[in-house]
Amino acid sequence: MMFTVPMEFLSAAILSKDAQAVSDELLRIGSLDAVTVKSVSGVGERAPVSGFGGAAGESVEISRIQDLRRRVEGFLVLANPPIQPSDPADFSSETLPDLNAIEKDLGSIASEVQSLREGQRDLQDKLLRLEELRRQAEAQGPRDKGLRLPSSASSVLSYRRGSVPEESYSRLERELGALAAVTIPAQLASGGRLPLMIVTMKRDESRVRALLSRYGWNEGQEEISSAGTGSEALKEIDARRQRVKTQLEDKALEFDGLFASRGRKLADMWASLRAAELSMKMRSTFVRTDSVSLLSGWIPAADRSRVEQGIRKACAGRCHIEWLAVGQAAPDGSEPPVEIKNSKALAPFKTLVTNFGVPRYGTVDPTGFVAVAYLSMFGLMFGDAGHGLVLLFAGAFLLARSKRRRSGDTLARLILYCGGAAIVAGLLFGSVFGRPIVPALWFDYHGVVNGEPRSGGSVRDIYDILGITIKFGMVVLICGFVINWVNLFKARRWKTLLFDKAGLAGGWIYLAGAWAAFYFVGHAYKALPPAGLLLPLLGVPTILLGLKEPMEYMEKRKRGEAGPMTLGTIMGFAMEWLVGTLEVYSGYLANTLSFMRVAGLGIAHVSLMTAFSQIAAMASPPGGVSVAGFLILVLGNALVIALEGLSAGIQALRLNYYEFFSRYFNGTGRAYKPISFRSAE
Amino acid sequence: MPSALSEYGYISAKLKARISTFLSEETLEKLARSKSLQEAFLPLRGTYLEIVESRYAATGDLKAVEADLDSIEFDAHSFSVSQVPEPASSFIRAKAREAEIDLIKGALRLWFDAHARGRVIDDRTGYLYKGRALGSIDLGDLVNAPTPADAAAVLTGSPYVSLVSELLPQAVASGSVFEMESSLDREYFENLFHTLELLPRRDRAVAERFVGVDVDIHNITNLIRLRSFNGIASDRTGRYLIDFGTAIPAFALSRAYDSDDLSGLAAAVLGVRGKAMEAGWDSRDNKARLSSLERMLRRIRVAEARKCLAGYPFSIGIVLAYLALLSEQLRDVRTILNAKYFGLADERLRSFL
Repeated sequence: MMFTVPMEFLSAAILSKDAQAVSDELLRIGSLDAVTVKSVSGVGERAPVSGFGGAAGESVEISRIQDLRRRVEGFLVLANPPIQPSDPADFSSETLPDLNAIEKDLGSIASEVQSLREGQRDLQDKLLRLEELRRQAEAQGPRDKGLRLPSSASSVLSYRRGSVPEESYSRLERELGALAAVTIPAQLASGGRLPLMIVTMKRDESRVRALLSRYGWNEGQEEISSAGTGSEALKEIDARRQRVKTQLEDKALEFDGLFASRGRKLADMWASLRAAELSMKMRSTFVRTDSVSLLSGWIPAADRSRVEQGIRKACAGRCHIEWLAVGQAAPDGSEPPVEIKNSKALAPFKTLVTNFGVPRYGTVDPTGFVAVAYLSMFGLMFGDAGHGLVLLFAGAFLLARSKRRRSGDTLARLILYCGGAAIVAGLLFGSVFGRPIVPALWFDYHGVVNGEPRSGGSVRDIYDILGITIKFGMVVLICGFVINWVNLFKARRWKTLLFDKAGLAGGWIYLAGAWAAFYFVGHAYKALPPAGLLLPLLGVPTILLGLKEPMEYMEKRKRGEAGPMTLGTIMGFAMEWLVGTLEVYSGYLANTLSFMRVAGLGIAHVSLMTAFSQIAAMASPPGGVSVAGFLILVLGNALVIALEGLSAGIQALRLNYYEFFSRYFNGTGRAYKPISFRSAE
Repeated sequence: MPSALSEYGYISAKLKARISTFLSEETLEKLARSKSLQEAFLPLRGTYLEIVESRYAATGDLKAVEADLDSIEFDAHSFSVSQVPEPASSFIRAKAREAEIDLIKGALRLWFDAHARGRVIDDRTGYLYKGRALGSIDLGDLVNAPTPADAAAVLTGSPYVSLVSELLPQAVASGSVFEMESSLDREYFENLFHTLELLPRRDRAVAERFVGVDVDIHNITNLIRLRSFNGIASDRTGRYLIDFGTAIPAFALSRAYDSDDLSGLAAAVLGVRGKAMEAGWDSRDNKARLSSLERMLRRIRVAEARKCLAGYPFSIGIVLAYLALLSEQLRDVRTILNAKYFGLADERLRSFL
């Protein structure tokens, strides 16, 4: 769309009892950028929201709903994979969700989660103890092969052999479980006693002794043949570690299971809370008397009939609706919100525009121009088909990944487009990975920069390249002027259109100055245009620039907003004119020369690639490429793609923001933000 | 001679970039407002502390999380030491010894619990620091050493070996590690003051402000511990406090504590902030007042750090600011997580922040 989306102002009077239904319908349509009208006579204060069973404490209620909704969101993302919330549009209803019940449910889920975490913690604790035992057992040296127990004085482990009454074993094992300890029982008991080996930390010696004596431990050698050996101890520790790890995995599955069983409920809970929150938010913008509510706001003109039908349907025709055009409606003096509508393909460039500012309502939407200017600049600075192909693949990869992850794809698309621009420019300049592999369709950039152009044509040296970028910059700036004139014409700001430095007078000076500069260059820097032509060409618009301030002053005088004219006023006009004129002449020259950076970056790109090619050649035998040479080329290309790609991207953005936008862009608009069931927080 | 720009340019940019990833006030508020421990971890997703969220999800173990937070702080010190030139590097290394000494003190306490008091420490040894920043010192070997001499031997090659050899047997004999820990702290500060003297004028001026606040915090914490837990008489407290030029004089602090004149002292030392704090003191309890004073000093340290960040970037100030802000933030996170674990009420939690 050439201009920002046209808006209309909706005012609707409905019965207060229908407010809930109308609000839900408006949220479903999602077009209303609500405005609270306070200046309508006979209307009271902004309505405290009702309909959910009482108006008192609504702000507390809405903040409680928000808190609960955020809490549910936490649980949704805790699940693996995260739970997708239900659609709030399916949960609009007359009744407020039972917040106490939701709070109770969330509390119960939280305590279930906590209990699972505590189970995990106990297992983790066990695992850490076993790991300490294992670390110390391993640190002790190679495992013993025979029946001899590892018993070094420097060991921090204590190995014991002996037996306990068979019936005491399980209690002993349980009590030892509180320590870093492993028990390895023999397969069979003998004479009512179970032979076993116990591995503990020496630091727990006194406690272990006390425990063993309590459970009837007999330390002795006779059981050695039937209980474990040192290497069995290690095996047992490993087996237990494995068991604990499996139990930990089971806990993780249990955790997933908890959310699998509660997932739907949580998803619905979120949707019902969000629906209630949005509905309350929407209705908080309504103004009402006891029986009538007044709603108002901006709506894209294209949605007018859909919104009107929706309201009438929701309140069964019990309403009065008024539509006001932009000129007629200015509630509280505010401007209509700005919506920029482009194809999805231009989304990255829309982001570039809105990052700078939101254009004023009714002005030209610069997105399409920015797309062309940005990609042309990028291509001129990064003209290499091979490097472009790498960017194209990188962009495609990122795009696929962002689709998979359902995340934003603005940067991916921008990289993809930049890759395309670089390929086109690379073909024009005959450059693929810094090598002259394909014939140049326009001119041989590498040849020109290195002083050995392969093809004929008008571009023979670096000055010709600089000239191209200056002309390109002029085209961009003139586009900026034209867009500004269109904006001023649409807004009927005639004086600014005629006499402003970015208006027709400014444009006239710019074009005349450009013509004079080309004339001077065309005459070998020896002759300026004839004075009889140059003076009126530059003099007339320069004088016109000086008329703007006096004319505005006269208008203010007529409205009684300015005092009588004094010498100071006249001096003020003169100073304004002088400064403005200096700004036009020096500023426009600087703006134009600023585009030489496009050539600078392009030349740097070529020079870097040439340098890497020469280094690679030095590292290779004559006529061939060595492995080292190949690696240098690969690394060089990677470095140039990363550094130059970033530089070119940033410089193209800078030229758009500071040279192109400064001609016409007024980022004082307010972005269109309708409330809908799809609104993000 | 290298310029300040070449010496501090890179580290300044690097640390400022790291500081920009610190948790915002909003995120900390979300943490504090969480209804349960599990929910308190969620705002950490996508932040530089995501690792602790993953740790909790995998283990459910808050102690493991705290060990991770300790490691983050400790590694930040080691990183800073490696990035700044001499003599600043020596000073930061000396400062990093505070965290190192804390780890060693923790291990010595475990050793003492197990070997002198006969307590079970098996549930705590798993969280000992296992990173490389302690060089050849293995804290696991330290806690398992059978005798005080063996424990001291584990510290061979470190500056602490002679001190621990001498004082650990005494600790066993007296049944308290307090003297040994105080000596380790004193050793830390003496070394810090020594390296501070070596700094160039601009760096020294900045560092002295931070060290002054550190000394104050240390003295106040120690004073609370001395009087509340160790029951040490007032005439003996002075020898456990550190004196430093820009800090509150140790004798004044000690005397004020005994003479119930902390309000006046706070006002005198902290100026307007102290007066404001004094107005908020409704308790006659000196311990509570000291805690308030400590919290205020922590805030002053954060304010000092922010001032450094906004000022001249090519000095040691940026490194000290980074370490101070990180330390305060990790302390806040630890406090909040523990408060959630123990189910502390919101009001009580906020009194610790």
